[in-house]
Amino acid sequence: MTPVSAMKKQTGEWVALMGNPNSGKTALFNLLTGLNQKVSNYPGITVERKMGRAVLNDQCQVQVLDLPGTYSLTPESFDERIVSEEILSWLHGPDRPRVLISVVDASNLERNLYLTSQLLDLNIPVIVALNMMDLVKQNGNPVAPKKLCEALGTAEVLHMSARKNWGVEELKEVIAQVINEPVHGKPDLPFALTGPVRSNLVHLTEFFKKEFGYSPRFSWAQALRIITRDSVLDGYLHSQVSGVNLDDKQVKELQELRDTSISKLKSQGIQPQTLEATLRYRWLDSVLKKAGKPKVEILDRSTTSEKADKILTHPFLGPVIFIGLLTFMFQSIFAWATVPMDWITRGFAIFGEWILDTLPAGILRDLLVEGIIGGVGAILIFLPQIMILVLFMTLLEDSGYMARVAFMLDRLMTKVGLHGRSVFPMMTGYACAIPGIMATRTIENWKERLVTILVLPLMSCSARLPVYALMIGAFIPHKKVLGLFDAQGLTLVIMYLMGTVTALVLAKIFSFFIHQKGQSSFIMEMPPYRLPLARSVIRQVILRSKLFVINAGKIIMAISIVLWFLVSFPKLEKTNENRNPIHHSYAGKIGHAIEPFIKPLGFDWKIGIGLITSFAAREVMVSTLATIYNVEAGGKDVVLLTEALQEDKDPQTGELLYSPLVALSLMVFFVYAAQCMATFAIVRNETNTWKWPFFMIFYMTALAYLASLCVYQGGQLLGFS
Amino acid sequence: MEWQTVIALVLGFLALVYAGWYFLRQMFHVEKKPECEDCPVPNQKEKKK
Repeated sequence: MTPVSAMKKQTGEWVALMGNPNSGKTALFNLLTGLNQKVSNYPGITVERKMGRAVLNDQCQVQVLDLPGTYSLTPESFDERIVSEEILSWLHGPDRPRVLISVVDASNLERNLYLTSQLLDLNIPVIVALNMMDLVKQNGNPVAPKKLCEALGTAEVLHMSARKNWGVEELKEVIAQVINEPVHGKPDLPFALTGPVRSNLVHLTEFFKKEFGYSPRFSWAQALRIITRDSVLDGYLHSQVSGVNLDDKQVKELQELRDTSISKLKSQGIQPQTLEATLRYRWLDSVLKKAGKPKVEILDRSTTSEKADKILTHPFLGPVIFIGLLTFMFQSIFAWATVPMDWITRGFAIFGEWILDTLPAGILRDLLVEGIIGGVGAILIFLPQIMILVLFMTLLEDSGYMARVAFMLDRLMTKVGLHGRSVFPMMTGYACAIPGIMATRTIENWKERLVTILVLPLMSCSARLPVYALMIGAFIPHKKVLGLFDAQGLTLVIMYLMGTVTALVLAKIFSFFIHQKGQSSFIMEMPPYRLPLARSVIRQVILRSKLFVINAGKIIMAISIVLWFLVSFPKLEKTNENRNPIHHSYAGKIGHAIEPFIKPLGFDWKIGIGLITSFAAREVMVSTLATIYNVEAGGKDVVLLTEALQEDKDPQTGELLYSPLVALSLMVFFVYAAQCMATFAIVRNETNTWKWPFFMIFYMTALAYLASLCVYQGGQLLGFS
Repeated sequence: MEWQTVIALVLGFLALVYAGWYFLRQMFHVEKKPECEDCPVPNQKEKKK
């Protein structure tokens, strides 16, 4: 037995969390490690490996690895391939987890234990965490852990609920105990391979034993698995994993053995694709019987979730309810945020006045008031709106409603060359394109995945919200349309819909030009409706707010400072009353140089500067305008940006510079423009080439320019100014 | 040089350096999971080397 004190001194102790999608692995990971990984109520949230440190007791700490959800060790999609490659790296490398924690959705034991049965073949101690027991106990008849443990041959089985945060301390104790006293599974497969199955797999099994040194149990299991799908063979042929380096002879031998086994089994009337599933499910039936789980009866009454689905996924009512919810969400963003926005505005104004009163006149005072407080303050007032947007999105995801949206949109998605699974990444894109693009890993077909990646940045992310909100607040009147909708909220809905509809249209066009055979089908387990947990919702809202204030805030402040210098220098005296020295500043000169290109869109040099700086982050457009107006005003007070935009006049003609038409043109430009460097970097990473990010920049910029041109010029032709 | 000018210039220089670093980092460094601040997961490809 390893003493606990000795174990603490060892470095590199780690355990792995594995389980089906949406079984609650990441919720458990967060509870074990204290980290804040995103969790939600739909499959496919985790698409990469994540690691954190868990303190099991006073003397024992371990690293916990959270892997993407997978239904089996036979990879179907990119995220499932991550799991199977990870397992190959354990078997072929020097480093393997001390314990596997198989997270099982206890409300769906049969299907979840399939993966557990495969994990038991790895000869690593397995602890089964029967998660979501709070839901199972409500319905009665929970399975007996001890009996299940004996029948499966695992190290331990325990009840828990990551949602309700119970059973986690017991799990920590069990992990520490199993690390100290490992309990390995049985040496042979728990189900017998006999007759033609055994005789046709024996050569493959010997190959695995001889070439890779696998245990007899895993050799048989892998022989059984490699004949089901090409993807298992690909794991060996194209693996990036250390240790899996087959020479040409081995590759040839493995392929030949596999082909021979498949053809012989087929000739004897055995379907290789379904063989492993048949054998394992048959065994699991007997396991559950031994564990005292009653056989599932076909229920003649609908569950509450099924009753709700009849309305919420109805072919006509479903989309109407969805659009209604979106409309309500965007209306609320304006209606509910007004008061806290006023508080923040007032707070920055008071702070600016205090600086003006405290510091003597000088460059630093001007920089603080005009650049930092003016620029950063102008953007931070949109924090309440972003918080409301995140709150709604999290509620929709955690309740399980988003999975229904994916189901409803699957047919439409397929028609435009996308996939039902594209819905989740695209909805994630409403918050930020980067995690959205990463989430496309759940799409197994490369063409569908690429098309989703290419159109995803058209979904209006939260960084665009400050630009929309600024323009709508300044130029769209606060009045009712059709006696029902608020004009400001409706304009925001239109902006979001424009991006979404354009994304679908372009997906259709792109799918004509990107060729790849085959189209994958969309099979998704519909999660039950759940009341979102306040803890989880608040955590998401705080996390996104922190990202906005701290991550975006840093670059916004840096650009505001740099811009202040560019707008304030060289210092010139006013030459005449109509021409502010700001026009002769470095920023003024740059802005006036690009003005001819953007004039047809209704934009002046100030917006031009904003278009350049907002490449760092879209929100920087707002702080840029605020800094320019504060410098122009001469630092007498902190300028209110909406008022400054409404009142700004052309120095030569004396006419108002901005109008609702210019505001619309600018918003449309931001719907389509490719102003996010981080997005290009992630597209480069996910597509492994610069071709697609450059294509994205080109098509989005061209689209933004043309759409904005049509809005402004078309509006003028129709008589709008 | 007046103290306000000195501090403003230092702030300006730091902001310029940060903005430059930010641009380069955005283009050549992938923030795999923006909400994840501490995920020391070894890369498979690095493992192979």
